[in-house]
Amino acid sequence: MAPGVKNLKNAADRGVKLTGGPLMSGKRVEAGGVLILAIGLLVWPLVTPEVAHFYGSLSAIYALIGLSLVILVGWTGQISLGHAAFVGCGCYFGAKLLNNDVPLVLTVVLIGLIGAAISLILGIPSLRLRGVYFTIATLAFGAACQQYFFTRSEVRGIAADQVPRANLVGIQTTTDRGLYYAVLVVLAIALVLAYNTRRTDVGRVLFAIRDSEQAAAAMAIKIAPYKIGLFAASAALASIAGLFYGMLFQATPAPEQFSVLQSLFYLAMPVLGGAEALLGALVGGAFLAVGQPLVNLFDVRLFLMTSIALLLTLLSGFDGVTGALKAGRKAIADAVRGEPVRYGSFVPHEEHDHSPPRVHATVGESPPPVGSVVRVRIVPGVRP
Amino acid sequence: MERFFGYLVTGLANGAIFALVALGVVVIYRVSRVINLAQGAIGVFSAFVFHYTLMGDLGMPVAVATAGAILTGAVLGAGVEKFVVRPVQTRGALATLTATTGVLLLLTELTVQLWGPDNPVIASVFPDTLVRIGNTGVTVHQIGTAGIVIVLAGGLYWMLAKTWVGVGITAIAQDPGAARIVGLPVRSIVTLTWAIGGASAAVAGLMYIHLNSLDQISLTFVLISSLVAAALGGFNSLPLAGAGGVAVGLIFSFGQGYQPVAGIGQLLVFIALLGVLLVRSNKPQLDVVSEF
Amino acid sequence: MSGHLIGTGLTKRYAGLVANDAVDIEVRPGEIVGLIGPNGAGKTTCFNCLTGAQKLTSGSITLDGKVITNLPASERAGMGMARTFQQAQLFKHLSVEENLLLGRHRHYGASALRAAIGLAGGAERKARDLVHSIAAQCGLTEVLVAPVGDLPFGTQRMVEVARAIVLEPTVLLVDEPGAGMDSTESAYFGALLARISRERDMSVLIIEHDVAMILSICDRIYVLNFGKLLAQGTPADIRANAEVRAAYFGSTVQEAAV
Ligand SMILES: Nc1ncnc2c1ncn2[C@@H]1O[C@H](COP(=O)(O)OP(=O)(O)O)[C@@H](O)[C@H]1O
Ligand SMILES: [Mg+2]
Repeated sequence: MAPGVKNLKNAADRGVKLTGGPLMSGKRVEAGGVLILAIGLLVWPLVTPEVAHFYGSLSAIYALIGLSLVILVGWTGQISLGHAAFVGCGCYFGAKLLNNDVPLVLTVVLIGLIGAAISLILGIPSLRLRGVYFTIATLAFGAACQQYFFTRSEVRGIAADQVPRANLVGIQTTTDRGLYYAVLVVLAIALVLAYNTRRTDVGRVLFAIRDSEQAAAAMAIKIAPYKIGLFAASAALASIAGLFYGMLFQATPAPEQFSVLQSLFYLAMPVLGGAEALLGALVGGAFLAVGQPLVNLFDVRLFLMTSIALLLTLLSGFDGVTGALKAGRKAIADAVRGEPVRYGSFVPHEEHDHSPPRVHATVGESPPPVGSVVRVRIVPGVRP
Repeated sequence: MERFFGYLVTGLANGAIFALVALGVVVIYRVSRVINLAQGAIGVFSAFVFHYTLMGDLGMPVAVATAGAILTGAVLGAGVEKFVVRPVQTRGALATLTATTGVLLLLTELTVQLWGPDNPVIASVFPDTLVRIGNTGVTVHQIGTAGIVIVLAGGLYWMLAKTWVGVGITAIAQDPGAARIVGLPVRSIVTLTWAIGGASAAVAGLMYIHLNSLDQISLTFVLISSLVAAALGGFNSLPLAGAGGVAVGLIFSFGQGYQPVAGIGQLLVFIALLGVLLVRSNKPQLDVVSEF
Repeated sequence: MSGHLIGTGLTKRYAGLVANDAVDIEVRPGEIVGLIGPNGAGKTTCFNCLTGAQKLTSGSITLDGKVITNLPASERAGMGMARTFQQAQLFKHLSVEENLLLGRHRHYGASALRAAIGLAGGAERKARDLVHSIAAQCGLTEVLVAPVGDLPFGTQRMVEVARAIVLEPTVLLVDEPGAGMDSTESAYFGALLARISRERDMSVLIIEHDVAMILSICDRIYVLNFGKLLAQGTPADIRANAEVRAAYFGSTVQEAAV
């Protein structure tokens, strides 16, 4: 081989992706998967003992928190280290509303609004700046809530409040199973709203802002309202989760339950489950909820194991479990079909013979240094 | 008046420690564009190694154990960079920030898993002898803390401005690709910087835990205070980060002293941060254009 | 007819450097105007000031008679001013189609709430129809579903231009679209731009180093050098201008003329 001729492996090393198409039409597989999942989520509590229902409810509540973080992390690329504070706000304020006989449906809406309103206190000043200021603001906010607001006797103080298990429209929540179904309804609604949003203008706008604020502005997009609005939606979801969290335990937990470390723990959900797929929230929620009984078997701390799982997932390079599944599906499809070489979504040459092609030369194409003009002429032809 | 000076001394001593952590955050941010959220946790972990392992299990004298703890911090800092941050760095700021968050949770939990939830009283190389200045007493440890921080901050400044490593750090901060091309050992310099950051965190941890009993709450508090300080200078300016740290220490000390309510410190720091954000967003936004 | 952009006395200083020094520039409705000059002459800076990506040190800008000097970039875009960037700035997490759809943001016509509860079908369909027709015009139909980061560099530039056209601007500013294209491609691109400009009544301000292309499609040309306007006029004027030759063309024009 002549010097300077590179083989295909080098192309892959340089970050050129070689991938195959899905085995079946992606839409079909996805729709089928979601249907099976939905049936499974509805049916399992009917065939399991009562202990499981507690963890089922907890999973669903965590999944709500997970969803609030998936849309924040996955869509805007920002991370919040203070989400536990919103869960706490939802829990304490929700208890007060329920104790004053406000119906649960209305409470859910009100708590969502309260959470969103509180988020503006830090969202407005910090999201207008780019970079890490937002994350630090959430951290400071989380600590101030836990240490200052939640310890006020008017908010929670030392003594726990009872939290009644009110009905969600027709759904009795006195049993853990009933509560599970109530949370599931809310979760399903939230998922549908998120899914629709992602597929339409607002979803695209959020990704655009994440990739290039400058280009987004050139598309007539006003940036700050979207970032602030999405954070408010995320805070609303987390607060609603907090309301149900209180109902699950039937009493308001101590402020330590809403600490900064708890926020870090929640952050494991979008990482473990995957932040690119909405369903990553469900996977993450289930992980954290069954984590406690699991670690009890081994006498290790839940947060410790969670942090290890989080770091390993990050190092694996997959976008959580959902990301790994997606990559797996692609790899299987390629292996089964013996896909021709692809660069991303391009098939450079339709090959009838599936032996590895011989590449005679690869020519790098990268943005030329600004202002200079790079001209590459390729003379097509075959040299045997 | 006596109370005032008391709070002033406490505030300055704690503020010096916040400043030290903030300086570490800034230096690391400069070379690798990563906010190391685990900075405080590295300090605490090193201090616990100092107390339980080096002094407790191995029975080392204070001075030796102190050196050992600082070394621990340096190794931890370099390790975080090499094994956690660098592997995910190609995936962008979100991945690195999440990674350091994971390390923060890991080290904090590991501390509790290994040594239990107690808040130990740890030794200091400086005696706790009281020195009277006018009507107020200052301990030698407090004076030593301030002294060490001033020396370290000065040293860091000198290193950045005058030494070959400092020039390298500045070069990498401006353009890592170009720095590599002109033959700078970029990887070693980055790892070295993280080690320096880890060591300064260890010093801060030793000083702080001797002054204040430490639980997870005060750990997050140290972290937040120093991040707020670093944010004041846009994570880029050492003098502003240092000044910010001292300011936060004073705000906290006076707030707590005159208004002893639970969580007042956290509330004040949050408000201080909102102030910092306001200052930064009122700065004439630098042109957002990256191309020319 | 609209798309009348006027910059008067545009001045931009970076610390000591004067990148634009009292530049007067006008793009009349329907015109294609070229902005040329050596590297570092301040062309991109002038673009950034016109579009609001950077703040002017002094000077004023009007679009269709309205003063826009202090409006943020997003509002100027909302008034019908679109642009591309010297280094293509595409949304790399999104597909080509989604990138183009973003151009429809200002005409989308369904609120966030309606879209969330699934009532944006009509708006979505309308947006897609327009995007598909513009994609066809720009030769992008084949790659609509591809993640934009996978595309060859030249195609990425095309996507960026198409995305700006989807905005249905009255005035379009393109910054060195030909960088990285060969002369055949860039001639094709110039012709396409001219056609789209005519069909859509869109005035164009274009920065380009491919002199042949600029001379062939532009109605008028401005020449910048060291931040100052060196000359302006029709392609014939510019070709004949001795100062311009000395500062910019060097021997290229003579060679071309031979
Ligand atoms: N953000 C900036 N800060 C400092 N100087 C800049 C900046 N942007 C551009 N310049 C300088 O302004 C001058 C004009 O640049 P530019 O407008 O990009 O030129 P052109 O696009 O004509 O090649 C150049 O000397 C460049 O170095
Ligand atoms: Mg330019």
